[in-house]
Amino acid sequence: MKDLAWLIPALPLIGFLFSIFFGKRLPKNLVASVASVAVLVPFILTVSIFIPFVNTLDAEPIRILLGEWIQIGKLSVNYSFQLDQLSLMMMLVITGVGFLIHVYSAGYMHDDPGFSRFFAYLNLFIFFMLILVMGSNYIMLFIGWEGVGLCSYLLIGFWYKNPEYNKAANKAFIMNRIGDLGLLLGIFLLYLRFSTLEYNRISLEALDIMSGDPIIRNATLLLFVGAIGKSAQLPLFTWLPDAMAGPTPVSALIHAATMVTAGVYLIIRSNVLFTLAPFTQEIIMIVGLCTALFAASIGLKQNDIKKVLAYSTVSQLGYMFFALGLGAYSAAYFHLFTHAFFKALLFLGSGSVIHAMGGEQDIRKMGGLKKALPITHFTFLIGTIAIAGIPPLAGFFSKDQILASAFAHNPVLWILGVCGALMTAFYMFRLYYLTFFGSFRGTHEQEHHLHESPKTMTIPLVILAICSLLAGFVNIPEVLGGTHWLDRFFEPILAGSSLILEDFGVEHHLSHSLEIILMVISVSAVLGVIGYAWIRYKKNGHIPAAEGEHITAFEKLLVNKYYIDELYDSVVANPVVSASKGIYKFLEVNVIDRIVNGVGQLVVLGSRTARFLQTGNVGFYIFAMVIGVLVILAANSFLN
Amino acid sequence: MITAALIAFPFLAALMLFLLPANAAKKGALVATLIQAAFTAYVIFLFDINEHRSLLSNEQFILSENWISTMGIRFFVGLDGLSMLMVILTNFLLPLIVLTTWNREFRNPRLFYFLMLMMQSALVGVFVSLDAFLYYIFWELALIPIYFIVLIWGGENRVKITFKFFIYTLLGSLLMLAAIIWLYLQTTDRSFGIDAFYALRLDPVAQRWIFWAFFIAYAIKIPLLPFHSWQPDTYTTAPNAGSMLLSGIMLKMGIYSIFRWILPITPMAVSSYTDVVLIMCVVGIIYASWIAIGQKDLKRLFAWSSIAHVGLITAGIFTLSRTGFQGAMIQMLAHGVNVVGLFFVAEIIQQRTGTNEIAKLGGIRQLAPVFASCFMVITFASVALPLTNGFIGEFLLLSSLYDYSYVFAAFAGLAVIFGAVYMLRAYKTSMLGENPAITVFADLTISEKLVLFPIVGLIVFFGLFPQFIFNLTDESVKYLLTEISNHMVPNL
Amino acid sequence: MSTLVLLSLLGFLVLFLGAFHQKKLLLPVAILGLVAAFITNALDWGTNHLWYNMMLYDNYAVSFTGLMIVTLILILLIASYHFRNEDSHVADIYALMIFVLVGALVMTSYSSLVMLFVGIEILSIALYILAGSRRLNLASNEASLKYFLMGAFASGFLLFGITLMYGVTGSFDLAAISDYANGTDNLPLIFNTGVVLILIGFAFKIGAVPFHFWTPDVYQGAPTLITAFMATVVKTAGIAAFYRLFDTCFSGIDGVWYNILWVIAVATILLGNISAVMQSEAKRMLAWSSVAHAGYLLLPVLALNELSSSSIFYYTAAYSVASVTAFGVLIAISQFNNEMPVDNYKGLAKNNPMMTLALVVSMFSLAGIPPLAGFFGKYFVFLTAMESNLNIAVIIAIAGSLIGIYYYFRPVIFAFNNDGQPMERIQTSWTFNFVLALGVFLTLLLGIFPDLLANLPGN
Repeated sequence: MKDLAWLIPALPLIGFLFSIFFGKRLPKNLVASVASVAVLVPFILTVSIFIPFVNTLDAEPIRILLGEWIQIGKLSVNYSFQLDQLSLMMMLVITGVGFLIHVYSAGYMHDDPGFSRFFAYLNLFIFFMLILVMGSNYIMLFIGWEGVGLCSYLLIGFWYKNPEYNKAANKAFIMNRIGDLGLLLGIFLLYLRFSTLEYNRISLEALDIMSGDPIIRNATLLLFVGAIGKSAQLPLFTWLPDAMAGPTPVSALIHAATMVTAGVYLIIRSNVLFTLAPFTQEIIMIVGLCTALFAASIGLKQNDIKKVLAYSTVSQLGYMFFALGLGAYSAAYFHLFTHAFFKALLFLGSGSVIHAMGGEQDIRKMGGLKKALPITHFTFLIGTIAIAGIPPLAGFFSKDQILASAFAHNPVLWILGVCGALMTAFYMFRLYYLTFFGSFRGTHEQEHHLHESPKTMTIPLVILAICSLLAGFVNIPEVLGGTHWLDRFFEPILAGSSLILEDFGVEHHLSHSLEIILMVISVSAVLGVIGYAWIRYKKNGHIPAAEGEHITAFEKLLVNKYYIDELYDSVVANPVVSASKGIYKFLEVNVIDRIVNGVGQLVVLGSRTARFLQTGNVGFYIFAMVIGVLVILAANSFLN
Repeated sequence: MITAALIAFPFLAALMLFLLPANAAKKGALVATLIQAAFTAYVIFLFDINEHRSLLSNEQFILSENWISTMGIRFFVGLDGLSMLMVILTNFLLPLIVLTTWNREFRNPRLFYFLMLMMQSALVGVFVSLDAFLYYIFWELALIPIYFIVLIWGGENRVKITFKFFIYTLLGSLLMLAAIIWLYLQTTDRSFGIDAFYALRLDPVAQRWIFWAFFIAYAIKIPLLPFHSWQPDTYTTAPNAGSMLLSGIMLKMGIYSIFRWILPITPMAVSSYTDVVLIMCVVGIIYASWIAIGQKDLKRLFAWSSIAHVGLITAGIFTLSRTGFQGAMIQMLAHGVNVVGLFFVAEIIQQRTGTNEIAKLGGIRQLAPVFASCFMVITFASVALPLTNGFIGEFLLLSSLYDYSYVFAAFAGLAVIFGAVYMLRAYKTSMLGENPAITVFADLTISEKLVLFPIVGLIVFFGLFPQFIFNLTDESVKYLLTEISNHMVPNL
Repeated sequence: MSTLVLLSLLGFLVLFLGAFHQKKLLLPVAILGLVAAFITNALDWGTNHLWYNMMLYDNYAVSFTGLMIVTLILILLIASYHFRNEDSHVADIYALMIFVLVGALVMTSYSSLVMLFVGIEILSIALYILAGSRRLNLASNEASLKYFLMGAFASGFLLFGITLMYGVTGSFDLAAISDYANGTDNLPLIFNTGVVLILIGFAFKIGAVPFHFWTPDVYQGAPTLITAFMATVVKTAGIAAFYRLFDTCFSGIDGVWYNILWVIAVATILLGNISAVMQSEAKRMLAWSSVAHAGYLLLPVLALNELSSSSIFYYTAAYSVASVTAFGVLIAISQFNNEMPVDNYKGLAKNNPMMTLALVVSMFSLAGIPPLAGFFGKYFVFLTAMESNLNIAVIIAIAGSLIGIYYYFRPVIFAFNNDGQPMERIQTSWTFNFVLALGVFLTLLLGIFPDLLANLPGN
């Protein structure tokens, strides 16, 4: 099977070429099915490669060399893959969720003129995402990294007639570019230090490096900058909410389940280096936590169904980085894994809602959709519970594992983490109630146009819902009679880190009783919050303030997302542009160009003055000549 | 002999054009350039990389005839990987450039294409000359046709602009001439041969003078900050074919010459001025790309971005590292291809809408999807997206720069961000959105496809398989590096 | 010697033809005579024939004589077009030109200061008349007068210098003088003064700063054809004589006159070029450019090494050909009016491709653009100068030629200027076209194969 591994990225690529070149002329169903199959087959292949890894824990990674790319002196970069526990798990998510979303899109985008283009881009995205996770060195990762950036650019601006969307697309690409530069420099530094970019050799050589080594510290910091950009952490997160301009399936696939988690993947992939750089880890932890709380607080007051989910994504990503900062790599991945399912589910659900509402996204105009959209409602509920962290759904286990390791690190962190969880629970249920309960607040034609989405859309919802129910069970902690299967499965990936940590003896374990207590506290707190949301939005039927209505200053702050966008525009974007014009006007035109032209004008000036000597008056000429003669003779006698 | 033929053919073809009727000149030129390209392909086929160790040891392509025997001036030409690369660039771009003019009627077309072919001949001459005097002659010869192309067929206030351009470049050339004469007077056997020049062991002080005399000439041609002020105007006012010749090929004369004439002859000066030059380059990169952000005219924007790109190339060279050299090589090729594409895009827009002012455009994507897609690919190539030709060069150059000093790399890296900013902004405003003013915009014609599709193809191809370019130039690069290290110590 | 006699006779013959109104025969006779003179001159090659210590027909003399004869032939061919409908005294003009050539010939082959002076006077006096040959034209007369006054003034210095020489050395013979100069250490001030005075005389003849004032006015005032003649033959003769003297006699004692000449050369280059920039009059512009070229020609005199004579010869040759072509075009476009602003060239290109080509080639050659003869001339001069470490002077000369681009390109730019209606086709005679074609051909040929002349005059 592993000989066919190259097919896994190849097929989506072929799918892309197929739909970009022929898609326009072919029937939509054909295009859609080709595109979906181009992802389904890789999924099957991945599974078939995955199974042996499951059967034999800590199996050796499969490395595949496709060909050489750049070969200059000792610098050698190859097209090569490394299939191990980590990349396979990622591939499962990408191809699995990816496939479902392809199917969903077939229904969702059915009436869109750009149908074939959409599937082409989706396939291209899958291709690059697979390159990103399958690559065996940082350059391959970088290819995928920028490639998915490209696709996200294309898909955010998919409806290119709308200038707002195009702006969002540019914003996303450029903000990612900032991160990418960091990543690139980080890669250069790694190459300088290890003179190779292959994962396996780096993580091997890294083991002989002392913890806190400055080069490693800088390198990891630079890599983290890349992760910040891609995974929308503070301060580079503002592109993600705007990215919701893209069609909803895109938000589900790229801006929730897969691409934005690339940063997490990068850090887990380089876990040895990060473990060697405690300083960087501190930074990551702080950034992650801040992002989690910050984004969650914004989520409390958003009224656009997709914006709420977007901020919740940012916040959940924050949790993952929080975990990474704590060194709980497998916990981070676990959350990534579960989050992929329930967040994709939520997005697709919201998509189904928007579909039914004829493009309406404002929850203040919804309400009471429960009856009209039973399946959507039910699956959405599951997603909501999952993300809120109610056992036994997926979100509970993963979030709990993070919180547990936070507590082990420092109880204060745990408290903050729980606060975040509470906010999450609140805004999710606020969203849920406002959307599905109460009376319908939309227009009339919207009302009788309401309908459950077609099968192609609902079936993926159901499957994702099931996944959200079960995904948690891959890593049940011992205290609940589980085996921490995922942690065990990841041991080969994290072996290096744990070796290093043993040297320090940094090993903190919570007693089972304590773990139980923490769980109980957090869960009951969450339930409390949900109760509050129930009272506020279901029982009292409270509706968020409409535009222009009076609200408190703090609410205003939240509604306007802390004015971060305005801040960036006024501090970065606008100055850069106006400075550009300024530089051009002053430095270029008035200094450099003027100097150059000045030389020329000098000559002209000289010429003008020289003409005055040429009076045309013979007397003057002879006089001048006499002067000349005298001077020369004087010089002559002087020289002797 | 083959090498001489590479120079001679376009020259003869240019003369032949006058035998054709005026309206056939275009076809004649296309045929000529295509034959030349085919011929070049044949030369590549003859060109055995393992055969030639160094510049002077692959006799296969060397031709050395006495020309002005009384002064030790020879018609001395040869091909190594470096020259080969430049010849490939020139001879494969020219047919494309001729094709770009297909839908455009110039007055006095014979003269126009005559000048174009003359320029091709001169450019090839520059790239293969191994005799300093011959090299200088070709260097100047390349300048004359483009001067007239811009002067006669250029846009508004072309007279002033071309004049500035000519004087400015000639200033550099004459300094170089003085330096060449001086070097000639130092040679033992009174020869202009590059071998004699390479054999020179100049004392450090002399090296500095010579270095600047040469470097300023090249800095003006490339152009590097602060010698660039002729460039944006010239590129903008020139007919697009002229801009392509200027930016696609002609500026490479400067970069190529740094490799060929500065590094091996004045290595000590080079190493002592590395920082100065690198600062020039890095400042130039940021300066140019920053200014590009605020440009309103498409061609002007491309002109400024070109300054940024070549700045990075030069910086890569002056790191004096193998990666830097190779990066410069591939990037010269990539930049040539991409910039031709960009200026052709400008040409198409100009023809269709009558303007290149970005703000006046927009909504073209829906009217001409194929065109817009090509433009997008080129755009992303020029912002160095992986798997495009732009990335390979930028990656190698930046990494070599990083090896030299991470500060320079970091600043030069800003161009990666700025590049995305201005290119995407330009693409967005000119192609996307909706624009009531532009209701008709025909998609690509056959001849336009014949230009843009190959360009797109090359972009992806070199992005995926750059290796054979490195193999082509590797020997030259190693040779240069050894030459430099040998000359580091003068035998006094 | 035979050449000298032949040319003198030719001059008289032409006069007689004029007297008997044989207008038809004038040109053929003159041309044939000059060709014959060229041949006899060529026969003197290699025979370092010394004529009573007065004249020395070495290769140097032969080469320059040949060059000047050829130049005159070209000019006469243009003249036939220029004077095509002027009936009176064309013969006189031809004759005078030939007499000027006689003087020039003496100037290139003298081996005695007396002959030098005689030659200069033969040349000058005929030239004064030629400058005024358009009798009814005020400017022409004024030019003639100015030229005469100042020429006389300069001749005075030259004569004074010669007498001082004689006073010190007791001889006019160059050989004797050089023996003295190289023989005696610490020469008397009076001798150096003599050298400098002679230098001044020459500086005037070739129009070097600060003795250049006559050049623009005279060049502009004189009939265009005569201007061309002065710019080429006369200048060639002047520099040839200059170098001949200094090479034979004063090469050993450069210290004295060297610095003075250095300043003069540099100043000439700069002032000539800079002044030319703002000239709106094409003729005046060319006049100034000829001043600048005189400056370049002084560099080899300064350098005074084995390359000098060749570089001077090559440069003058290239310059003469280019100038004749340029003046030819000028004559053609500004038919008979003596007023010729630069924008006369406007729109030339459209209907007169050949003439435009001639214009471009000649102007570019004068500007020193490769691969034209003018470029190689400049290169040759720079090489000669740098050979003697005149690096600073060369850098300044480079700056000068950069400035030169400005005014040399203006006619070209006007020629290709298409707004306004283009100039209609200009009717020309075949001789005229022949000259232009030959000029273009030679300029290219010499530029691409400089070897043809680069070894002359040899030694």
